[in-house]
Amino acid sequence: MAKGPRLSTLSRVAAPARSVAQRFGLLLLMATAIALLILGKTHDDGVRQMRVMAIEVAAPILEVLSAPVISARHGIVELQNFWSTNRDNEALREQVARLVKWQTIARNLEQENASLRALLNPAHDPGAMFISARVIGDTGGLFVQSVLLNAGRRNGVAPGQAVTTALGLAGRVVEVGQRSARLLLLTDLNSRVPVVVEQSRHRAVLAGDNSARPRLTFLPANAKVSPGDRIVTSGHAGVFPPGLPVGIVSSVSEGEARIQPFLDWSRLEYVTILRYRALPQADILRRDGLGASTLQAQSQAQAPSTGKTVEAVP
Amino acid sequence: METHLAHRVANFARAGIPITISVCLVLVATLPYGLPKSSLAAPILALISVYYWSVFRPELMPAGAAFLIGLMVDILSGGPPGLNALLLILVHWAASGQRRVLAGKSFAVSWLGYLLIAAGAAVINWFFASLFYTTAIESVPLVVSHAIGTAAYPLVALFLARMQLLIGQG
Repeated sequence: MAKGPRLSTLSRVAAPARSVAQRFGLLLLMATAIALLILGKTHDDGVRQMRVMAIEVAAPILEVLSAPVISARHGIVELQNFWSTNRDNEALREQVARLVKWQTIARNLEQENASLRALLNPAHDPGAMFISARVIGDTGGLFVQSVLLNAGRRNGVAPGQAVTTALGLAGRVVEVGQRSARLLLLTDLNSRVPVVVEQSRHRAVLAGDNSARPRLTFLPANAKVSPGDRIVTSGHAGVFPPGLPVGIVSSVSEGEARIQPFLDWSRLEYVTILRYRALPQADILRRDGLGASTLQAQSQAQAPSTGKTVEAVP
Repeated sequence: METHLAHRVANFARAGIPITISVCLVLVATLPYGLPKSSLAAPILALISVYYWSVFRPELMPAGAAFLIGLMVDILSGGPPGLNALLLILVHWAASGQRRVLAGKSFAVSWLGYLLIAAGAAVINWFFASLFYTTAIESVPLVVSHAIGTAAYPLVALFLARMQLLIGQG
């Protein structure tokens, strides 16, 4: 009986106290979120490590959950293939007829290339090794264009490695955990890829801006690009192997060229991670900032030190 | 005694439904569907879920939970850390504060509420993302994302309402 009034006094005191505590909690959480944002700006590496650790926990769950999604996508593709079998056959027959001609040309060129190579004895590009991985998460949202892969450090994945599909370059590895990695796509705001226009050999940097078609930047002023030109990686900076197909020029306006990547984003299921290292790190640092001509001259002068002597040419 | 315990466990599980659903929605939305704009699904679904529970069962969606769900979206996306956490706290605060207006009235009112609160969130999103990247972020993707979210709201809310029935009034 005596409990009644005491309880009401208690609740009369407790209710505002609780609302104050709630409001304080809300402010505390907001402050934490803003602190995280500032930390993310100033201590990028630390935040990235924490994120990799958290993704390590989510990766096995995503891997299991994504398996049926991938199967369903395969099913849909197979159904589409089934419907278009006749049309595909027709197109493929035409293509085979065309490619047989190309095969002859390619064989001749291969022969010629081999004999010329034997005369010159140039330094070979180091061969790339492959790691295959499956896409387990289509992440990114508004500001980032990235996907999660189910291969990590234990498979030999390292930050900076190039990632390709059968069609062309997809992007590069930016975060690596023990069993998962994040692939930054070509189209991301932070993606920069040294490329070359295949025909004219003009160098440029392919810069993503979160749109579907990244931009060609640092193109020489006298360079002429026109829609339909193929763009491949140049191999400069030693991160991407040279000659990987990237895309074709889709539009040129007011000195701005945009690229349609070869990659079919809607069919990004399996990717190939390239373990490629063109030059030792120290070499890149030393050569950084040198012009193309000096670089070439230097690499010729250094040829003996790499074990391939010019004198050995018959 | 045993039934009493089972009852309490069941109650506890039911109380966890809003947070569990939100986490599951984010995880499922992250899977690689290969559809255009599908990477926008996770932040949109998180926003709708936090809004819905903050309006209809705010006691089961505390601010701390909204924060953690936002943090999860941030970690998966690789975007500015803490940005979605901040947005979802603000959405929770706005939605639970106005729940007398938003809940109990017709469905259209809660939909309109979502439209306004999510629009506010998009503006704040733009502001903080621009600060983070120290450049004026393109606003078109934000508008597109807001439009998709508003269009998807009725369907997602219908699903969440079904889930709400599982919780009951207890």
